Amino acid sequence: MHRFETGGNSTFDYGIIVVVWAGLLFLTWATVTFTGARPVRGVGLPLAIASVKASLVVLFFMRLRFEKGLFRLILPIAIMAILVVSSLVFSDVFLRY
Amino acid sequence: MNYPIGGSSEKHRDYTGAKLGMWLFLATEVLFFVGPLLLYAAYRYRYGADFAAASSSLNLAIGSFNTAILLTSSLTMALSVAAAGRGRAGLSMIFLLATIILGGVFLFDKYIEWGAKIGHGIYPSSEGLLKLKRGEVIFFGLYFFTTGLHGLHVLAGVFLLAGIFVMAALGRIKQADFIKIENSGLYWHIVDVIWIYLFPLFYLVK
Repeated sequence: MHRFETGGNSTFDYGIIVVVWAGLLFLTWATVTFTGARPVRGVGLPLAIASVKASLVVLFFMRLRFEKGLFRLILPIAIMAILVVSSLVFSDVFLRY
Repeated sequence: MNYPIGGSSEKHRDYTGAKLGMWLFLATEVLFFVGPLLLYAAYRYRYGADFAAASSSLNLAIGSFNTAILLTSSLTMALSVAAAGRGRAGLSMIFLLATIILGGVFLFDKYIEWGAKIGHGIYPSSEGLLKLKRGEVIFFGLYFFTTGLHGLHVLAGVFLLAGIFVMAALGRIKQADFIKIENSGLYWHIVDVIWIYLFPLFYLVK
Protein backbone atom coordinates (compact mmCIF):
# COMPACT_ATOMS: atom_id res chain seq x y z
CA MET A 1 0.00 0.00 0.00
CA HIS A 2 1.39 3.40 -0.92
CA ARG A 3 2.16 5.61 2.03
CA PHE A 4 -0.07 8.47 0.88
CA GLU A 5 -3.11 6.21 1.07
CA THR A 6 -2.90 5.71 4.81
CA GLY A 7 -4.25 8.91 6.23
CA GLY A 8 -2.75 11.86 4.51
CA ASN A 9 -1.33 15.11 5.79
CA SER A 10 -4.57 16.22 7.42
CA THR A 11 -4.02 13.81 10.30
CA PHE A 12 -0.81 15.58 11.33
CA ASP A 13 -2.14 18.48 13.39
CA TYR A 14 0.46 20.50 15.29
CA GLY A 15 -2.19 22.26 17.38
CA ILE A 16 -3.68 19.11 18.89
CA ILE A 17 -0.22 17.84 19.80
CA VAL A 18 0.58 21.06 21.69
CA VAL A 19 -2.80 21.06 23.47
CA VAL A 20 -2.28 17.45 24.59
CA TRP A 21 1.19 18.34 25.88
CA ALA A 22 -0.27 21.20 27.94
CA GLY A 23 -2.82 18.77 29.34
CA LEU A 24 -0.07 16.33 30.27
CA LEU A 25 1.84 19.03 32.15
CA PHE A 26 -1.34 20.04 33.98
CA LEU A 27 -2.02 16.43 34.98
CA THR A 28 1.56 16.12 36.24
CA TRP A 29 1.02 19.20 38.41
CA ALA A 30 -2.27 17.70 39.66
CA THR A 31 -0.54 14.44 40.53
CA VAL A 32 2.15 16.16 42.58
CA THR A 33 -0.31 18.55 44.24
CA PHE A 34 -3.10 16.19 45.19
CA THR A 35 -1.30 12.91 45.90
CA GLY A 36 -1.47 12.31 49.61
CA ALA A 37 -3.94 15.13 50.18
CA ARG A 38 -7.05 14.24 52.14
CA PRO A 39 -9.49 12.63 51.70
CA VAL A 40 -7.85 10.65 48.88
CA ARG A 41 -4.76 8.73 49.98
CA GLY A 42 -2.85 5.78 48.67
CA VAL A 43 -1.76 4.84 45.21
CA GLY A 44 -5.17 4.97 43.48
CA LEU A 45 -5.29 8.62 42.50
CA PRO A 46 -1.73 8.96 41.13
CA LEU A 47 -2.11 5.73 39.15
CA ALA A 48 -5.46 6.86 37.76
CA ILE A 49 -3.95 10.17 36.62
CA ALA A 50 -0.93 8.30 35.21
CA SER A 51 -3.29 6.09 33.21
CA VAL A 52 -5.04 9.15 31.77
CA LYS A 53 -1.65 10.63 30.82
CA ALA A 54 -0.52 7.36 29.27
CA SER A 55 -3.75 7.16 27.28
CA LEU A 56 -3.22 10.68 25.92
CA VAL A 57 0.33 9.82 24.85
CA VAL A 58 -0.76 6.57 23.20
CA LEU A 59 -3.79 8.00 21.42
CA PHE A 60 -2.43 11.37 20.30
CA PHE A 61 1.38 11.21 20.27
CA MET A 62 1.59 7.59 19.13
CA ARG A 63 -1.44 8.17 16.90
CA LEU A 64 -3.21 4.95 17.86
CA ARG A 65 -6.54 6.73 17.26
CA PHE A 66 -5.78 6.69 13.53
CA GLU A 67 -4.86 3.03 13.43
CA LYS A 68 -7.20 0.22 12.50
CA GLY A 69 -7.49 -3.52 12.86
CA LEU A 70 -4.74 -5.45 14.61
CA PHE A 71 -2.98 -2.29 15.82
CA ARG A 72 -5.88 -1.54 18.13
CA LEU A 73 -5.69 -5.01 19.68
CA ILE A 74 -2.01 -5.15 20.60
CA LEU A 75 -2.09 -2.92 23.69
CA PRO A 76 -5.41 -4.29 25.04
CA ILE A 77 -4.01 -7.81 24.74
CA ALA A 78 -0.85 -6.77 26.59
CA ILE A 79 -2.96 -5.07 29.29
CA MET A 80 -5.08 -8.20 29.66
CA ALA A 81 -1.92 -10.27 30.10
CA ILE A 82 -0.77 -7.80 32.78
CA LEU A 83 -4.13 -8.05 34.58
CA VAL A 84 -4.02 -11.85 34.58
CA VAL A 85 -0.46 -11.98 35.91
CA SER A 86 -1.19 -9.25 38.47
CA SER A 87 -4.26 -11.12 39.72
CA LEU A 88 -2.21 -14.25 40.24
CA VAL A 89 0.52 -12.33 42.06
CA PHE A 90 -1.83 -10.40 44.31
CA SER A 91 -3.92 -13.48 45.12
CA ASP A 92 -0.72 -14.84 46.66
CA VAL A 93 0.43 -11.56 48.23
CA PHE A 94 -2.88 -10.77 49.93
CA LEU A 95 -3.05 -14.25 51.47
CA ARG A 96 0.59 -14.15 52.52
CA TYR A 97 0.63 -10.90 54.52
CA MET B 1 0.49 -8.28 -3.09
CA ASN B 2 2.50 -5.06 -3.17
CA TYR B 3 3.75 -4.10 -6.63
CA PRO B 4 6.76 -1.84 -7.02
CA ILE B 5 5.70 1.72 -7.70
CA GLY B 6 7.55 3.65 -10.41
CA GLY B 7 9.20 0.70 -12.13
CA SER B 8 11.40 -2.23 -11.13
CA SER B 9 13.99 0.03 -9.50
CA GLU B 10 11.48 0.95 -6.72
CA LYS B 11 12.36 -0.79 -3.47
CA HIS B 12 9.58 -2.90 -1.95
CA ARG B 13 8.32 -1.44 1.27
CA ASP B 14 5.83 -2.76 3.79
CA TYR B 15 4.71 0.21 5.85
CA THR B 16 2.04 -1.68 7.77
CA GLY B 17 4.34 -4.58 8.55
CA ALA B 18 7.10 -2.28 9.76
CA LYS B 19 4.79 -0.41 12.10
CA LEU B 20 3.11 -3.61 13.32
CA GLY B 21 6.52 -5.01 14.20
CA MET B 22 7.33 -1.92 16.24
CA TRP B 23 4.01 -2.03 18.12
CA LEU B 24 4.60 -5.71 18.97
CA PHE B 25 8.08 -4.85 20.27
CA LEU B 26 6.66 -2.00 22.36
CA ALA B 27 4.11 -4.38 23.89
CA THR B 28 7.01 -6.60 25.00
CA GLU B 29 8.78 -3.55 26.45
CA VAL B 30 5.72 -2.77 28.56
CA LEU B 31 5.58 -6.38 29.77
CA PHE B 32 9.31 -6.17 30.53
CA PHE B 33 8.75 -3.38 33.04
CA VAL B 34 5.67 -4.97 34.57
CA GLY B 35 7.82 -7.62 36.28
CA PRO B 36 9.75 -5.26 38.59
CA LEU B 37 6.61 -3.19 39.12
CA LEU B 38 4.77 -6.26 40.38
CA LEU B 39 7.64 -6.80 42.79
CA TYR B 40 7.25 -3.17 43.83
CA ALA B 41 3.51 -3.63 44.39
CA ALA B 42 3.98 -6.72 46.52
CA TYR B 43 6.64 -5.14 48.73
CA ARG B 44 4.85 -1.82 49.01
CA TYR B 45 1.86 -3.73 50.34
CA ARG B 46 4.14 -5.38 52.87
CA TYR B 47 6.30 -2.36 53.84
CA GLY B 48 4.07 0.64 53.19
CA ALA B 49 5.50 2.90 55.88
CA ASP B 50 9.12 2.10 54.93
CA PHE B 51 8.37 2.83 51.28
CA ALA B 52 6.86 6.21 52.22
CA ALA B 53 9.90 7.08 54.32
CA ALA B 54 12.32 6.13 51.53
CA SER B 55 10.26 7.94 48.91
CA SER B 56 10.29 11.15 50.93
CA SER B 57 14.11 11.15 50.75
CA LEU B 58 14.05 11.31 46.95
CA ASN B 59 14.33 14.71 45.28
CA LEU B 60 10.76 15.47 44.18
CA ALA B 61 11.84 18.67 42.42
CA ILE B 62 14.25 16.82 40.14
CA GLY B 63 11.73 14.01 39.61
CA SER B 64 8.99 16.49 38.64
CA PHE B 65 11.35 18.45 36.42
CA ASN B 66 12.45 15.24 34.70
CA THR B 67 8.83 14.31 34.12
CA ALA B 68 8.20 17.67 32.46
CA ILE B 69 11.38 17.26 30.40
CA LEU B 70 10.35 13.83 29.14
CA LEU B 71 6.81 14.98 28.35
CA THR B 72 8.23 17.91 26.40
CA SER B 73 10.56 15.56 24.54
CA SER B 74 7.49 13.54 23.58
CA LEU B 75 5.95 16.78 22.30
CA THR B 76 8.97 17.54 20.12
CA MET B 77 9.10 13.94 18.90
CA ALA B 78 5.42 14.02 17.92
CA LEU B 79 5.96 17.37 16.19
CA SER B 80 8.96 15.92 14.34
CA VAL B 81 6.85 13.03 13.02
CA ALA B 82 4.06 15.45 12.10
CA ALA B 83 6.47 17.67 10.23
CA ALA B 84 7.86 14.64 8.36
CA GLY B 85 4.31 13.65 7.46
CA ARG B 86 3.74 17.11 6.06
CA GLY B 87 6.95 16.97 4.02
CA ARG B 88 8.75 19.57 6.18
CA ALA B 89 12.13 17.86 6.40
CA GLY B 90 14.02 20.79 7.94
CA LEU B 91 11.40 21.41 10.62
CA SER B 92 11.27 17.69 11.36
CA MET B 93 15.02 17.64 11.92
CA ILE B 94 14.85 20.66 14.25
CA PHE B 95 12.24 18.95 16.43
CA LEU B 96 14.23 15.70 16.31
CA LEU B 97 17.33 17.53 17.52
CA ALA B 98 15.29 19.12 20.31
CA THR B 99 14.12 15.65 21.36
CA ILE B 100 17.69 14.37 21.48
CA ILE B 101 18.80 17.34 23.59
CA LEU B 102 15.90 16.91 26.01
CA GLY B 103 16.74 13.22 26.32
CA GLY B 104 20.28 14.24 27.20
CA VAL B 105 19.00 16.67 29.82
CA PHE B 106 16.93 13.88 31.40
CA LEU B 107 19.98 11.62 31.59
CA PHE B 108 22.11 14.42 33.06
CA ASP B 109 19.47 15.04 35.76
CA LYS B 110 19.45 11.32 36.53
CA TYR B 111 23.22 11.45 36.88
CA ILE B 112 22.93 14.37 39.34
CA GLU B 113 20.21 12.61 41.30
CA TRP B 114 21.96 9.28 41.53
CA GLY B 115 25.23 11.04 42.30
CA ALA B 116 23.63 12.74 45.30
CA LYS B 117 22.25 9.47 46.59
CA ILE B 118 25.54 7.65 46.07
CA GLY B 119 27.34 10.55 47.74
CA HIS B 120 25.18 9.99 50.81
CA GLY B 121 26.13 6.33 50.82
CA ILE B 122 22.85 5.07 49.40
CA TYR B 123 23.53 2.63 46.58
CA PRO B 124 22.95 -1.11 46.09
CA SER B 125 24.69 -3.19 48.79
CA SER B 126 26.28 -0.15 50.45
CA GLU B 127 26.71 -0.10 54.23
CA GLY B 128 24.64 3.07 54.41
CA LEU B 129 21.76 1.39 52.61
CA LEU B 130 21.90 -1.85 54.59
CA LYS B 131 21.63 0.08 57.86
CA LEU B 132 18.16 1.27 56.87
CA LYS B 133 14.94 -0.58 57.58
CA ARG B 134 14.21 -3.65 55.45
CA GLY B 135 11.43 -1.97 53.47
CA GLU B 136 13.65 1.01 52.70
CA VAL B 137 16.41 -1.29 51.47
CA ILE B 138 13.94 -3.00 49.14
CA PHE B 139 12.59 0.36 47.96
CA PHE B 140 16.01 1.64 46.97
CA GLY B 141 16.91 -1.66 45.32
CA LEU B 142 13.79 -1.40 43.17
CA TYR B 143 14.40 2.33 42.63
CA PHE B 144 17.92 1.87 41.28
CA PHE B 145 16.94 -1.15 39.20
CA THR B 146 13.84 0.26 37.51
CA THR B 147 15.04 3.84 37.02
CA GLY B 148 18.39 2.47 35.85
CA LEU B 149 16.66 0.17 33.38
CA HIS B 150 14.54 3.09 32.23
CA GLY B 151 17.63 5.28 31.93
CA LEU B 152 19.26 2.66 29.69
CA HIS B 153 16.18 2.77 27.50
CA VAL B 154 16.41 6.56 27.32
CA LEU B 155 20.10 6.29 26.39
CA ALA B 156 19.30 3.74 23.67
CA GLY B 157 16.57 6.08 22.43
CA VAL B 158 18.97 9.01 22.26
CA PHE B 159 21.39 6.96 20.15
CA LEU B 160 18.53 5.74 17.96
CA LEU B 161 17.25 9.26 17.35
CA ALA B 162 20.78 10.49 16.64
CA GLY B 163 21.06 7.82 13.95
CA ILE B 164 17.71 8.84 12.51
CA PHE B 165 18.85 12.48 12.52
CA VAL B 166 21.90 11.53 10.46
CA MET B 167 19.72 9.59 8.02
CA ALA B 168 17.40 12.55 7.68
CA ALA B 169 20.38 14.85 7.08
CA LEU B 170 21.50 12.51 4.30
CA GLY B 171 18.07 12.78 2.70
CA ARG B 172 17.09 9.18 3.36
CA ILE B 173 13.82 10.06 5.07
CA LYS B 174 11.11 11.49 2.84
CA GLN B 175 7.45 12.33 3.10
CA ALA B 176 6.70 9.27 0.98
CA ASP B 177 8.63 7.00 3.35
CA PHE B 178 9.19 8.22 6.90
CA ILE B 179 8.46 4.97 8.75
CA LYS B 180 11.92 5.08 10.33
CA ILE B 181 11.23 8.34 12.13
CA GLU B 182 7.68 7.25 12.92
CA ASN B 183 8.84 3.98 14.50
CA SER B 184 11.59 5.77 16.41
CA GLY B 185 8.93 8.13 17.71
CA LEU B 186 6.80 5.22 18.88
CA TYR B 187 9.77 3.86 20.86
CA TRP B 188 10.45 7.26 22.42
CA HIS B 189 6.83 7.68 23.48
CA ILE B 190 6.75 4.28 25.18
CA VAL B 191 9.84 5.27 27.16
CA ASP B 192 7.87 8.34 28.24
CA VAL B 193 4.80 6.24 29.14
CA ILE B 194 6.95 4.03 31.37
CA TRP B 195 8.29 7.06 33.24
CA ILE B 196 4.72 8.38 33.61
CA TYR B 197 4.10 5.37 35.84
CA LEU B 198 7.52 5.21 37.52
CA PHE B 199 7.37 8.83 38.71
CA PRO B 200 4.34 8.57 41.05
CA LEU B 201 5.28 5.07 42.20
CA PHE B 202 8.72 6.14 43.45
CA TYR B 203 8.47 9.87 44.16
CA LEU B 204 4.91 10.23 45.47
CA VAL B 205 4.56 7.44 48.01
CA LYS B 206 2.67 8.96 50.98
